[in-house]
Amino acid sequence: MRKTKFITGGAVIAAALAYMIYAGVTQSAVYFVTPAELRASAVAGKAYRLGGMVLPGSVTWEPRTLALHFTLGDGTATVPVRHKGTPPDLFGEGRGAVVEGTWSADGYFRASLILAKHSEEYKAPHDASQAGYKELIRTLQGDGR
Amino acid sequence: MGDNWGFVLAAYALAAIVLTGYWRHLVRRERELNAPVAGHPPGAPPRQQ
Amino acid sequence: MTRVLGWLAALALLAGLGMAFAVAPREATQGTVQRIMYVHVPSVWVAYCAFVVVFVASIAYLATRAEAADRLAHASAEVGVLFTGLTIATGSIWGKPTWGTWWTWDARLTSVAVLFVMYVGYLLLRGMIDEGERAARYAAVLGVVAALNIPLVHFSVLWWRTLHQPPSLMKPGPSSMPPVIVRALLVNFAAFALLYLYFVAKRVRLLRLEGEAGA
Repeated sequence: MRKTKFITGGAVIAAALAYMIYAGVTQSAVYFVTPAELRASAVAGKAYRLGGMVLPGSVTWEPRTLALHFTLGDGTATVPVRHKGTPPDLFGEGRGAVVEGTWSADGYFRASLILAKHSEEYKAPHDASQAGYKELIRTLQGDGR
Repeated sequence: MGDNWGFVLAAYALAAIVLTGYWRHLVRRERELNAPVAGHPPGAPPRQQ
Repeated sequence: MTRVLGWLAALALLAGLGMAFAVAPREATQGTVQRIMYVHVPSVWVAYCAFVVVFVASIAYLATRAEAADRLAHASAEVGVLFTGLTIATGSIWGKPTWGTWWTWDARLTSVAVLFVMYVGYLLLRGMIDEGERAARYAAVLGVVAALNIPLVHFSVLWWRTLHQPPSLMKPGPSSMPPVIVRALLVNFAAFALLYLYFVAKRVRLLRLEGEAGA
């Protein structure tokens, strides 16, 4: 009755914790690889999560076929990315993005999911100052102060 | 840069429901404990959620 | 006294809504959806505070065995779980339109999920042990250990690569937001903190009544 309910609850909690710690260790520690890291050891067909800066001028989107092409860079290396679909609102050139997918033998990254990463900057509408490229790279790699 | 008012309203509505729900839970429990009526013996198990 | 606290909290919440929707500007990059921040961020700050209170009250209980300390820890943990849940839910609603996903296992989201589950476990542990004194003792130990999670959650965005952005305000150096957004956040934090105090005061009284009713 009451006791078994709590024991079931405890087991569910323990299982949830174990799963999250497992997910944490395997996924969160290196949440994404940078373009340079991918270039250094890319295996065709292998699934990666790739994070970088959407290079200004690299985005092309065909609304009819939903073909989205762009290039992710990290300051040292770049990786061309292809995706089919509509990107999230915050996706854009000069901003951070994390993409999930596989490395194709043809030399591009086939993304199945596009995530937009935003910086910690918040701005009032009239304040048009753009955070610099270096600053964005820094927040992207998560090594702030 | 869409405005996504739907998401904003959903977030605020959810917060309102969760917070008033907890508040009402506390008030109801307090009333039960302050005026134990027949059928609600003082030792009744605490009602969760 | 508690009633006054309740009215103060209600008034502050109204002021917070005014700040969030009327005073704070439509943010330049994200648009209106950024206003979710005024629930999301104060919620998590209050949750951090609640769990620090659990930590301190647990140590106080272990040192003095005062039942009042145990009741405070219990009440604060419950309200802390409420605000952590609210943080996760509003964060998820914010994440969908901006990031493009409701959830992802990055270090920030994973660590906050672990935080949530640990304190749910804390509440379950209290319910599982019938003997009051033993429940209080075990819970106090867990209340001290689980607090180690708080810095982990806060610094996760600095220690690891995450999808979640680093802190804008709780960091050394100048804040990355205009003062009006900071003010709106602080008003909402004050409102949520008052609500926390009101909830905890009420919950502590309930626990005392429940204790007197006797199990």
